[in-house]
Amino acid sequence: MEELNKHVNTVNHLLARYGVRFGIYKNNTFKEQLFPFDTIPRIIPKAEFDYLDKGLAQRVTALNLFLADIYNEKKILKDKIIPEDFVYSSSGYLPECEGIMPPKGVFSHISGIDLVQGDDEKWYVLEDNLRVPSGASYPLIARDLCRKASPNTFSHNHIEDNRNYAELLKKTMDYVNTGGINVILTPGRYNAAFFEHSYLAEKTGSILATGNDLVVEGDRLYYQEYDGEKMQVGAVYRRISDDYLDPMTFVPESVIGIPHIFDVYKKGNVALLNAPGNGIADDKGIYYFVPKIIKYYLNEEPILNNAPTYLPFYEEDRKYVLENFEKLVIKDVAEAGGYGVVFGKDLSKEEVADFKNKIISEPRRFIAQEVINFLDLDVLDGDKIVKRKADLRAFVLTSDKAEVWKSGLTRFSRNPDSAIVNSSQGGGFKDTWVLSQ
Amino acid sequence: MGIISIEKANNLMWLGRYSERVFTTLKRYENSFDMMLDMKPDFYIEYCERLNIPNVYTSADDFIRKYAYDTDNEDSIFSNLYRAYDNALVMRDFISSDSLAYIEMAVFEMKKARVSDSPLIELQIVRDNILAFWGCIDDCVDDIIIRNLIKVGRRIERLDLCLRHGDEKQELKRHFEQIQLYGTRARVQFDKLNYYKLAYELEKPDTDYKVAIEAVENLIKM
Amino acid sequence: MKELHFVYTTKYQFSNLINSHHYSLRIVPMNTERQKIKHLWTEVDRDDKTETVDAFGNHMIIGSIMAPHDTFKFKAEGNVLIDETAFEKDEEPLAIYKYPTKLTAMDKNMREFLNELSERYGYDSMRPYDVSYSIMKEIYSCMEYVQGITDVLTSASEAFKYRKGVCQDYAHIMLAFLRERGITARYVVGMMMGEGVSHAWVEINENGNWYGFDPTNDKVVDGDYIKISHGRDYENCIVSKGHFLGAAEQTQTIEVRVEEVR
Repeated sequence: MEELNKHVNTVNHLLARYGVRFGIYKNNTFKEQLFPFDTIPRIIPKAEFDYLDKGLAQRVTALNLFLADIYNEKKILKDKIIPEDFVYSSSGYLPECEGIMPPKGVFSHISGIDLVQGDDEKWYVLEDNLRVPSGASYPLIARDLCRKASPNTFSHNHIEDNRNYAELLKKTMDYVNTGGINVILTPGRYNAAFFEHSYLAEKTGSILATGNDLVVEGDRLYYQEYDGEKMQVGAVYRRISDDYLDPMTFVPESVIGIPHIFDVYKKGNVALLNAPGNGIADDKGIYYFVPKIIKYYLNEEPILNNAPTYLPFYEEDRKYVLENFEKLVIKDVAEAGGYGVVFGKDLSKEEVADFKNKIISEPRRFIAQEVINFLDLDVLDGDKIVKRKADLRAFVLTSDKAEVWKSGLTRFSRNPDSAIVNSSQGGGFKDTWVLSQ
Repeated sequence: MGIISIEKANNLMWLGRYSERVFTTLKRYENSFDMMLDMKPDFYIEYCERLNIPNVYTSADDFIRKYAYDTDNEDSIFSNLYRAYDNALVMRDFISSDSLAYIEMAVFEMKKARVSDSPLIELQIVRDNILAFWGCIDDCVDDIIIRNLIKVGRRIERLDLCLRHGDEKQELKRHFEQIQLYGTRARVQFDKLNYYKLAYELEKPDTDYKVAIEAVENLIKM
Repeated sequence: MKELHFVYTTKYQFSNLINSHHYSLRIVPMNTERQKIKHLWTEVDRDDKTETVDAFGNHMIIGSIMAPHDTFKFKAEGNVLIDETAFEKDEEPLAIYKYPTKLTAMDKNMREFLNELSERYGYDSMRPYDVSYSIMKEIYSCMEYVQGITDVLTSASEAFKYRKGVCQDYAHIMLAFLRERGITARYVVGMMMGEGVSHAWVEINENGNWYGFDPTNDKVVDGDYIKISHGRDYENCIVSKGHFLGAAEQTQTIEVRVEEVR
């Protein structure tokens, strides 16, 4: 590992050479930034990863069954495991997807599960991302470049090779492909994750397409070639959100989508990865129920823990939340990303009273969680090594079964006091090594 | 591979054109740079006229700086390099990350040249990177159409620039022949009228350069 | 049994040529326990179309016209049999019909109005059908039918604030009230005898039957109505949706005729 740190400049030089960037919008102009890479990897011992592997596969398998059930039979609602309010009042539930069973029954093909390790060394799932999780390309290319910059590191440690991600992804696309080529659909050059879209297209041998390249004709989706020929498309790994996918079904103003693609999908003539409507399964309110979802569909005890979560909707939980408000973090389920997250300890007396009233009058709107003390990771800061907060996004790819990629994206915050590890907030990333023995 | 949309075919051709424009222009710029040092300080005025670009420069010094590096000037070499970069970036899956890296490095070296007081060595590296970029594509990309779409773009640009600089007929004809060769391999449809117009102008003794330039600019319509 | 003949024609005129024009049409009447299609002819002026069914069970004609054009017409014509004694059956209606949408959300003003009605009539002890009937009457008497004040994007609460609107607004307001009362209710688009354009009303589900109420005309839906589509609100039932390239103004002419066959 010290061997690799010696080569930190070489690695960063290579990352620049390969254009490993992410885009951000600042004052309405698009800028691309290098995504700072820290050479000290997150190392996960074999036994620990075996545990994560089982837990993640179990979780994603159950979430896929949940999605199939919610949009079809709705057994879990009829059996009152989840109050139906939590499904139908959520913006993640799309009525347009009612009655649809996607090719081979897979809804979440590529799942990004965000985990943190507490200072008790226990792992907790913080969030499931089942819509368009991004980030796998960064550790993928970083590994490739680290091996070039510091070959000795990799001959002396037993590290699982993570460069099979493209293979896994291709297998995932091929599995659901309904006949035709695989396409990666990007909103375009000025998207924050464009590097990833183009890199994964190159590595999987898929065609990188924008909405303009694709057209629906007579219930099928085609890629239009420059000489007038048309190729049928069998699978679309779309990196645009549900809202913008099809102006005929969703947001009519969308110019990056493909008119009628949703109708082709509904007829089973193209696979969309991930399926539209997945937002209901990674909803903040539904998160609370994931352990119950696992028990319900798989008849197994959940292997991975959620962060301890309370639902004020239930009287018992509400009582706990109101009594322990100051030590909890409260999340508004309607808000996305880092918005609507409040730490009880940061509020003034009046604010606490106000917030408690809100919880009493709209209990359905909030969840509350115990604050987890992160296990901090070493990060290089110049010549020094400092401790910083970090999370882990694990990737689970589902074809005939759920497979966990033996790596993941470890993001850390630059700011010593911040627990926000989002790349647009100036943080960096690390490779994640899974040891093979 | 071999599945190329109109938009991507366009990107490839323009990638060829802009990378060629940067490469050829750099060569000519270096010659002009040399000439303007002590022999012909006003040469830039003639240069702008030839290329039919607005002369927004106040002096040879101003020209040397702005024409090369000013990204707000849309005729500058750097602006054209960025256009090559923009067209390359969206083609990663076709041309490979390894090839794309050379354009990244060309941009990097251009930035270094901009702040250097002896920039010719960095500009040489910019040119080296573009040559390596073309070489890498030939080495990594098996698809004949992709390679030849870039090449036909390059030759069109080359002929265009040579016409503007009033180069020798023989040189012009050579590029035209290459355009036909690569164009056929890339299966592009030439615009018939402009194709014959160009062939005729290059054949006849008193070539009308203006007509020829217009014809070459409109040789391919996608 | 009543037999109705209908003709539904729409014509678009574009001020400039447009291309890459994609359309989705919901113009074909439904086949239900109450209403049966006897004859049907559809005509879309370009013939590259296909058919599908949306998530709410509505029939759709979809297609695209890629070449430049400046007009677009479609027509549905046919005969429908209505059994006024039968009702559309649905033992397990979609639960989403109980939940408000953006267009049918309540506000404070509406809540106060509804609470007052509820107290006056004792809604809590009435069956959903009777509550719906009462709400229909109240909406009819407090609203004024005026065109041009509201548009297709106007929400129930806005229209209710003005106490003015058209059939779409009447239906949205009624849906908001019904859903607030916990009644499963949906938006319906169709045709009505004597009305020259398409019409909108409301259906509620009670004990597995769907019952229609027309708050715009203060009328329980009878044999004069032909149903085309239903959904949570207007957005799910748009008759003609289009998406095209080109800068053009469009003018739409709709002609609807329903008459009894004797």
